[in-house]
Amino acid sequence: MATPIKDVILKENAPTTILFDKHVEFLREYGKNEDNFEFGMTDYLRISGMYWGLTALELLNQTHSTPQDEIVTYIKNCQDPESGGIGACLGHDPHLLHTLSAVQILAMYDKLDAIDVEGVIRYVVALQQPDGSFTGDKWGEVDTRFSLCAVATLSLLKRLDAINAEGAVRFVESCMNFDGGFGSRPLSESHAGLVYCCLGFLSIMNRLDIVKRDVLAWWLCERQLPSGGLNGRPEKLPDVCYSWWVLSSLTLLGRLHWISAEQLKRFILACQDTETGGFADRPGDVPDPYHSLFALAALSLLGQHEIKTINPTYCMPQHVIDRMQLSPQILRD
Amino acid sequence: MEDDNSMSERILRSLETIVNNDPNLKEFVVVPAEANTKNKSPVLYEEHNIGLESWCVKHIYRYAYLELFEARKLLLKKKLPFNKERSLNHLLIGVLLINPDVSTFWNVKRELVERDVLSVNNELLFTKLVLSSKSKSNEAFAYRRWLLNRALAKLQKNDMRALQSLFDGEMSVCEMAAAKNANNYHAWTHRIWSFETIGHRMANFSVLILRELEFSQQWLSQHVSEHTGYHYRQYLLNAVRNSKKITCVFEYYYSKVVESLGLVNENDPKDILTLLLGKEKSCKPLEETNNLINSFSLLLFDLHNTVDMLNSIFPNHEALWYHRRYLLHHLIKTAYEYHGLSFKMNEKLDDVALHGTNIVNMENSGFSDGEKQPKLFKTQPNRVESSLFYQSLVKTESEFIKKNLTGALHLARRYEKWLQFVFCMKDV
Repeated sequence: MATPIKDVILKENAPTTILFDKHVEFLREYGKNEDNFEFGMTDYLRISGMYWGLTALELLNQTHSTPQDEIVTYIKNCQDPESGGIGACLGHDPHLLHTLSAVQILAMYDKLDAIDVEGVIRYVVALQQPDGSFTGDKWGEVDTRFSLCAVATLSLLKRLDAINAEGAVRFVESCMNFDGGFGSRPLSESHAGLVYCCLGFLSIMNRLDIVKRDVLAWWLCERQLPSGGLNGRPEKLPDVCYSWWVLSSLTLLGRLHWISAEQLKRFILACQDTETGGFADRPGDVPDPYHSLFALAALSLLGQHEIKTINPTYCMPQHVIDRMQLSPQILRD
Repeated sequence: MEDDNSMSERILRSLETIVNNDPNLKEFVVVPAEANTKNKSPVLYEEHNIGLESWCVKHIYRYAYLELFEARKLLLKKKLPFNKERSLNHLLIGVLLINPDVSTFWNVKRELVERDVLSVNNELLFTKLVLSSKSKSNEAFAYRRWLLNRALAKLQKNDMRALQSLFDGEMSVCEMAAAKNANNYHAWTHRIWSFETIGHRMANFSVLILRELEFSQQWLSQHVSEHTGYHYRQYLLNAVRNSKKITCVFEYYYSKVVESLGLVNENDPKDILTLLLGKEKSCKPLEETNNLINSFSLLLFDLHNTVDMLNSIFPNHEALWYHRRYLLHHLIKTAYEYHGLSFKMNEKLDDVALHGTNIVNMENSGFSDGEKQPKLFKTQPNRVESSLFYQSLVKTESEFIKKNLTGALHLARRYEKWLQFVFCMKDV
């Protein structure tokens, strides 16, 4: 008895080209359409949501059409004057996830001086624990995601020297599993999203040398399913956001050519919504800015020429990273 | 609007009353109902389950949300009257049952626990209810960890009964959440955290770990395709290997392995190591020897019993093959440790021309064109590679692959390639 592989089947009539204009419209309108926001339900991720939408628009070369001043003012108002951290939304508590998203948006607009930069640095530094790990906020939850957020934020502010770098690396290293992958904390299961977080972290710290390069690259390649899509763990369904987590990881390892780019591209393009624009997690599902950004970013890594070049470590436009004179590590032969 | 608010307030109060008075609540669900047609309370309460009719969700969420942020402002300015502070929980119960992803609301709860307005025990019950409807909510699990850390800090050092009760509580919450959502990463991560944080403080560590091993085997036999469940078992096996608290030989697993290897069970358990791996260089302390026996027994038990058995009933499950990789890797690693050698699986594959296919789907021939052949250089075998044990593993793995070529060709080939090119097993 054969057990079918958990995967999706792409339809014959699935889109095979990028619906450029539709995506621009989708991303521009998303924030304005009230139906997308049931009262207060998505406030808790607003600043990250802005980062997804605005970065996607920039990848499509549409930044000139976004209300930059309004956005910068909003972010400024979300900074907590006491701790220095930035919250998801006015009135919400500061958190490292949104602090990074805010800094990414401001870096893209070259407006970092709009916020209290010293406050942000103070906030990040205070979240490092004696074992080198970072908590997401003052309440003490540890996760490797927060290690990436911390060093990405500080490096964009040119203050990576403010933390205990050695301890931070040691902690991330302690989250490595025998399969080469990383989990959310020591002893946790390998997960492609967290693999990206840890590789991104190590790339910024210039310590990709500690990775089991090919053992991990092999595991990442095994995430590709017959549909061409990628999953995040064994026997899970493909999801377009893993196109980014896996692909950026393979890029950092210098092993992008180990998977079938052509099949992956076909899968990503099939996740487009031909009516509304935007990308969904899987073909036929409802599109959103989150999956749209990671689909576009993955297509950029695959060399889609209509899309601006993305940086695999920061998930930000390469020209921004160049302007800031950052050069996160990438393994090459 | 006023009517709307007083209605919301009434609904929230009735939810709060149930939550406060029933310590045995099982489940919370939102029940689809288009409008308030029957003119009665939308809160349904039956056999320790709560249902909330969907038409009112929007109203109570909006009301509670605005009230909470208003109160929050005053709270931060320290201008919130004491009686008002004690009157926030019904709002929090409402918003968090509907939308547990909002960390700010959990933070308000944390503040109220710190002020002794809310009790740790009641909050543990409440998060369990939240997880019954949103079993993947990491915010709810994170709050639980915060609560548990508080409870542990206040516990008398030798209060083993209280520890046991905390431990049992977490195991059952994790099992509930894991059962509701396949591959529930947060539930299993929380189970590991609980075992590390609470389990390691308990006196009867051997009993605990044996109980968990039994649980995990049971779980896997019913969730054969869940990689997360195997990961938990791997965590337990690693915990056995690393524990300094286990001083006895696990009779059950030991005797199963003796049986599957066709040995006689009357010798000193230690002999199994000598037989399989050869004589050790230096004598090890008894605990370390027992630890090695337990580790080998468990790894071999899973290889011969768990994986073989499950694979024959449920063939073609990738997760099961990944578990096999773990077992192989750790059997060899432990054998190296027995001989005091260091083991490293960090080989670099020579680059091959892929022509657009995924490397793991490459035909084997792609790797072996002339000089580009990756690292199958003949080197002198070390003590592990020349052991009877290593040779028998090579044999069982070749046979396992062969046996599955008809039913699970793709996975069998993939495993073979992993053994050859990533794990670098000799002569597979």
